[in-house]
Amino acid sequence: MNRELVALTDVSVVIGGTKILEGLSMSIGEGEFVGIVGPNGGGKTTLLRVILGLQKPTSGNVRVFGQDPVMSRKRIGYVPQHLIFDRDFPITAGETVLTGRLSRKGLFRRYGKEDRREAEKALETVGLAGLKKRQVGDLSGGELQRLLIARALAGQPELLLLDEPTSSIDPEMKTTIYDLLDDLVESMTIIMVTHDTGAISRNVSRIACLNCRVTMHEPEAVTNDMLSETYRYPVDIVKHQGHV
Amino acid sequence: MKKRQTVAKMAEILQYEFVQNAVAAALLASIACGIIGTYVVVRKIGFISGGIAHAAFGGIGIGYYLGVNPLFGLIPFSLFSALGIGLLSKKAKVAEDTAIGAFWAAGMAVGVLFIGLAPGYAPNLFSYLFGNILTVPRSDLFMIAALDLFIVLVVFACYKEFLVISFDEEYAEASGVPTTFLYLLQLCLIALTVVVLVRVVGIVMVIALLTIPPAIARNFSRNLFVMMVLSSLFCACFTLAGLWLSYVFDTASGAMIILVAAAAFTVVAVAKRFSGST
Repeated sequence: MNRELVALTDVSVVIGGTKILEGLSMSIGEGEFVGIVGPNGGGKTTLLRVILGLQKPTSGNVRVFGQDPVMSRKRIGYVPQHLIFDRDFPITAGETVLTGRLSRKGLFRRYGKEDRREAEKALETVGLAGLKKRQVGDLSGGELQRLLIARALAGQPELLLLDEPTSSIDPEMKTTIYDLLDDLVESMTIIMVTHDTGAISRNVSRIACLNCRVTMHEPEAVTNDMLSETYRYPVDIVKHQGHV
Repeated sequence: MKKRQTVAKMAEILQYEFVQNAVAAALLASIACGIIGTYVVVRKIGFISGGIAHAAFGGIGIGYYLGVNPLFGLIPFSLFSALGIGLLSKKAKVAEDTAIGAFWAAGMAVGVLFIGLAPGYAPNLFSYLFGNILTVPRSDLFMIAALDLFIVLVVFACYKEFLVISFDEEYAEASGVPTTFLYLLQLCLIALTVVVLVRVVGIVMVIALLTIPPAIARNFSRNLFVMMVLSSLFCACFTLAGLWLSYVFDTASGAMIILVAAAAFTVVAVAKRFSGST
């Protein structure tokens, strides 16, 4: 395996007396595209929050880029599942993407030329260059999802974390986003939480089945039985056919 | 003919120093009000602002008791209650509205207690509760101007951070932005704005001036900066119009300002409803 970017050792997270993650160990190397599947409440989002340093593990050890996750934030791009925001919030798409540069800027420093250039580039990458001046509340679900990806890309991350990036968009747009991720994985490591088992079989290099505990699989090895065991109900999977 | 009379009358009353002071106070207060009110509205922290404003009454009481300008009691006390409400709701496991309610009432209680302890009768207490822009002394104008300057400088320095914590706090945290510190800083700026506005509309009605102008401005704003500028303009219009009407009808200025703002708010809301935009 390449250089190890994310290392979790025996990580448990207990929130309000409920075990969210238990004894979880995993290692993710540079250039991997890891898909995380599992039922709702299985701890997928919590796992991403642990890697981001937003959620401290109750026990166990987390290293990201060999450091405490909090220290590595500027090297990570994060695409949350939903943007919980007020549709009336006065902010343009361009301004939103610029906030992706925040982790690279010091407090009190203003955005410079380079920040604006990277923000423009990120908007172009996701195909939203024309909507820079549009108010965020006026974007469609698919545009919003791509905007969130652009925001993460603007920070030029080495590691990209995506939380169900296709949950609220139509199938055609899904393909666009997966094509985009296929391109991105050339230059960065990707961890993606998803429900979309079709996507898993197409893009990813490894799969983590998460239901409180984690099981790692090569995509070829994933069978219906394994997924069923994770989900505890029957799941259809599209068998991995190699990259299309 | 009537119009000319009105203009002549305006020119005449503008010669009084107390009227000049009132106009200056209205314009200066509008700057802080528009900028900070914008954050209050987009972050939906109007109730917190109301809590800070009412808790600040404790500072006025202490100021009276010590025999200093009540504004000097007001500034530290309102900052203290802003930090108290912020820390209690963020760090301790206390529901935010509980923390606000506790500070709201406790601050007022402190004020009442100290005013009772102070010798003699506190005659212009009423003006702190309900505002009296016509009694703003020139010395207070300088303090209001200084607070304005401070607020503008802080917002200028932290504009991008304030924007991201208002819009998407979790993302801000994931970007390594010190969200708790900046939130407390925002609450402190609200506290200082309360100090500025107390002279104009009084503690009880501060919350209206912090929320109504930005709420109207939001309908016409694409980004936060535009919203701040428009809010300040609306706030200036409401305070000056309220001031004028209170002169014409010989009524309380603070109440008149708030009623003008509320009327404008209603008109815009109804117009928006009928114009079919959402």
